[in-house]
Amino acid sequence: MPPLPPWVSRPTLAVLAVLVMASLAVGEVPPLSRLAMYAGRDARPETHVFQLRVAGAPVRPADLDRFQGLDTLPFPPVPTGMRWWRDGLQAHVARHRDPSGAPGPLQVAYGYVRVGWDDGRLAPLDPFVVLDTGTAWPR
Amino acid sequence: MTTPRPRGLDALFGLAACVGWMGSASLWLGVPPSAVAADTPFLWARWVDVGALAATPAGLAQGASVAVLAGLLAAGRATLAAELGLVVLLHIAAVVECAVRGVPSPSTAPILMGQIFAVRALLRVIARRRGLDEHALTTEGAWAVVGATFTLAAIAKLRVSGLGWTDARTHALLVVERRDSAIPAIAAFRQALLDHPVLISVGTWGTLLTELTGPLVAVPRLRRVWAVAASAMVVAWAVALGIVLPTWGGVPLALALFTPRADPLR
Repeated sequence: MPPLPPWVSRPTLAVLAVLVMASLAVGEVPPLSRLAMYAGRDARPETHVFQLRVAGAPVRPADLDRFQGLDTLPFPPVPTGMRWWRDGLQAHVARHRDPSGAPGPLQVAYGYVRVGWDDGRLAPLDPFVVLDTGTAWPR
Repeated sequence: MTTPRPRGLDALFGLAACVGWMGSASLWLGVPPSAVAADTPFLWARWVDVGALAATPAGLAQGASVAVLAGLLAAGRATLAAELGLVVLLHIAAVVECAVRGVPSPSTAPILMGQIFAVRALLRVIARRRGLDEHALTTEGAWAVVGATFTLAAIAKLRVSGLGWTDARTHALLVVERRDSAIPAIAAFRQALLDHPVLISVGTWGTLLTELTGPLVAVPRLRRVWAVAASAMVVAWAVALGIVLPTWGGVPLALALFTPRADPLR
């Protein structure tokens, strides 16, 4: 093995090499890991963007308060990576329900829109599909 | 001459251990997964949901243990025992997380911090037995772990997806999924990415290049530049995709900040 140049830290390089080789050989045995969490390329041609909408426009859940309705928030098995968002929305709505039971002034729709590539740009491929409805107040 | 104990680095590593443990443990202690995703542009609050963790006996006991060990590390007391204890607790968190979530690979934070503490503990023992510069050697070990971590992430991408991982069209779908839930400024940035997919390509190729050059941490003259690039990359992930990995971004910066400029072992 040729000698290392003087500007290389030998202990650092040695530990690094051992860690990389051990991780590749052993796999998922903490604290070793091949760190494949974000390595997958989900090469789907389209996705389904889940949204909350008020008057036909997407809104952030954080901009709404005192919800009524939106009890089920179904999550159909469509190609998407937004399960985390729907789970977060479910928790947010549960924590911000209107205790009075009175409906709010904003009509809120929960659903998804299929989005894919159209002439080199991402665009909605179908109309918005409403899965659940309710009301809320602006925050 | 021996290197003085890197107090700042030890304190930040202790903090990173707490953050890493909470990121993993919150996923198996019943904290709603990113209940905050609806509240904030990022998922950061999952890591600071102390109340939810403390409400669970297992969470309270393990969280308190992690905090005590991190405190010992920061104070320079029983350093070796604190590091070994943190390795065990981070290991438990990672294993349980995998079992509960049914995934082969846990959150990245406990992996990174667990490796850092394991390597530092091992090198500390070697340095004490052989009379070497303990603090310099353990700091070099931490650099090695960071370099190995990013290198492994690149290797995983190439093994699983090949160069196709850099495909801007695939990543654009992730961006559009995360656009509408972000605060307006970040939503506008994500829309700009969607309008100019070449920017997404710059990001994906930049990610792969930065990760592949992880071994540059073995060159003391270059490691600071690399650490800044790696941290900037992690910030870019957060802004573009809402993927927040504070330990991945913070540990290289902490090392760059607290490692002497000259090669300490030379």
